[in-house]
Amino acid sequence: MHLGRLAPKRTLQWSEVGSEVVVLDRTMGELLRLNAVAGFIWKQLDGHRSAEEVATVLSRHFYVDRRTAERDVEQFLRQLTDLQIVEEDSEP
Amino acid sequence: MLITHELITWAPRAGHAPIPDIHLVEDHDGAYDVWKAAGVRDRILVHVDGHLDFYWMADRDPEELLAARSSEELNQLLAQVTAWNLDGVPLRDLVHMGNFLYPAIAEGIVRTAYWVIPDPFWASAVQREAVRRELEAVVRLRPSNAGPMEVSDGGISLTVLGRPVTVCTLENLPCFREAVLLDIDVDYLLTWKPGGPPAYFGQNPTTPWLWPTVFLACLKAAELPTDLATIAYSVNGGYTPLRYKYFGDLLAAALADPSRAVANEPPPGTAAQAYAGFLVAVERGEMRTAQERWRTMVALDPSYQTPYATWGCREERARRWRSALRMYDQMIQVDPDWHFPHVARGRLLWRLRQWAEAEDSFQKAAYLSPGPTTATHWLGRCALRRGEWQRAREEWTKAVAENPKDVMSWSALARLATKQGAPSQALVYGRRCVQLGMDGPAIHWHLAWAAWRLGRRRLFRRELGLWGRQLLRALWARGMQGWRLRTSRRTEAYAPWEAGPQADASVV
Repeated sequence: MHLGRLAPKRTLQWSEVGSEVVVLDRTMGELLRLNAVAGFIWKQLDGHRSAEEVATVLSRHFYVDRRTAERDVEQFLRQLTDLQIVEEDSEP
Repeated sequence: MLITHELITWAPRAGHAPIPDIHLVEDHDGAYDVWKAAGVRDRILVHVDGHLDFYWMADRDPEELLAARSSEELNQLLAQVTAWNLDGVPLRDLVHMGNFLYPAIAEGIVRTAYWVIPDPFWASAVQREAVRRELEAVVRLRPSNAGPMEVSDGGISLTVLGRPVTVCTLENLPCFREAVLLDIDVDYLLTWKPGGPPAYFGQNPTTPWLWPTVFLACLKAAELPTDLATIAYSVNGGYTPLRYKYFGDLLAAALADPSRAVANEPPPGTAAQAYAGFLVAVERGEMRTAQERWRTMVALDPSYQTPYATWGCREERARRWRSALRMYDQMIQVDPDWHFPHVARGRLLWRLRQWAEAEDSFQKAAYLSPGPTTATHWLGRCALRRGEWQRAREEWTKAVAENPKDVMSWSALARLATKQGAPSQALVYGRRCVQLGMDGPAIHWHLAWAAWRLGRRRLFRRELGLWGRQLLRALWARGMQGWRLRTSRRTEAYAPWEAGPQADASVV
């Protein structure tokens, strides 16, 4: 995976609703609902963890094999990148 | 001892005693601003109008969604798709002449509303059914916020946002024991049927179904106690033909001083009288006289210098291009320094494929205009036609910078982004168009394309569905328009300058 250390854009608002994560993007006028797995990945994105590290945490938490976790994380992060709701954290 | 009941109110009754607080507004949503400024709350509203002026607004703060406690609660909230202001548009920007009663009720300014409809609306079963259908369409959009309707001989009653709303004629208003907000739209006197086109765009010249003197007599008979009256001219949008704008002034003067005599003709020395003289002069081909009357009119009241003063826009909408062009040429002769007829002329020349002449007109309009003008947008189209994409982008970017609500230019930018293979930009520009109310098939096509390119499959499917639906609607509307044009009759009395003015602020 070649994705950087990503974090949600600072302009977004989000919260946990039940087992979901709800993300409000006022710039695009959209509301995104993330299921339990997507929400878990979302909460790991702090700008410091790499995609591999997120996959490791995911694999342990949901008891899935590493390959599946890496694939799912990469796919999800690419979706978030396309949606333009994550950014690479430039702070050290 | 006899005990007699009297109206328990300290407010003057309209037509009997002077009303102390009367506000004239150009567009009817100005009444909402008047009420807000006055700080009124929990009032009875008597809305005398040819239109309901109520429509749902997407005014709910989406932060409520973030505060949901469960997925089930979130599902329930999201079921009200049209309610959420996801874009964070300032609420006042969402209010317009067609929906201002919504915030008036939602914010507690109005606790009970009476929509006083023109008598012709209740004169036949067909008209009554049209009124009922209009209300039903409103209820259907948010059934949880709008109650069931009850139809009787006297009118229609329903509940909206938990508040009672009654629709009836002036004669069927009840007796009020407290001061009401009296809210009058001049187009009440000029609207003959519900849901019809604005008077300016009507097939035949519009005359009032009720003249001010008779209306004032009816109002007096209703004995409405009121301490605050608003009167809307409603010329913008074509609801009140400009030649009758002065009705608003007559009504305001009569309500302020019921003892003074009222006539139905425009008072001497007013812009209305000058405008009437202008129309006659043009009809006779006396252009010098027309120019003098026009200048007098504008000097007396600059608001009369409006696209609705000319019938050109009406001719244009009716696809009588040559006739429209002739009228715009006449307006340029009458007022060569007014930018509007130059823009309109350019638009027509564009349609007639006279590109160079069209661009010349747009250049003149841009030079003459004191503020933002659609001429900037059209100059962009001229540049695009010559293949100068960068120049076109510059013009449209300038246009939206001058006027962020210039939906035509946002749409042009979206189209250009699609041409240039820039899906992210197309998505942003397209979203802006939708926010501004553009809902045609073209914009949903651009959004669908952008969504596909960005891999957003769910958005793609949604936009594709919207494109298909809007395309069918547009084709149907075009078919109906063609049928109407073919079946319309032109009477001997019809003269171009007698046609209703059609002013569309968006084309200025």
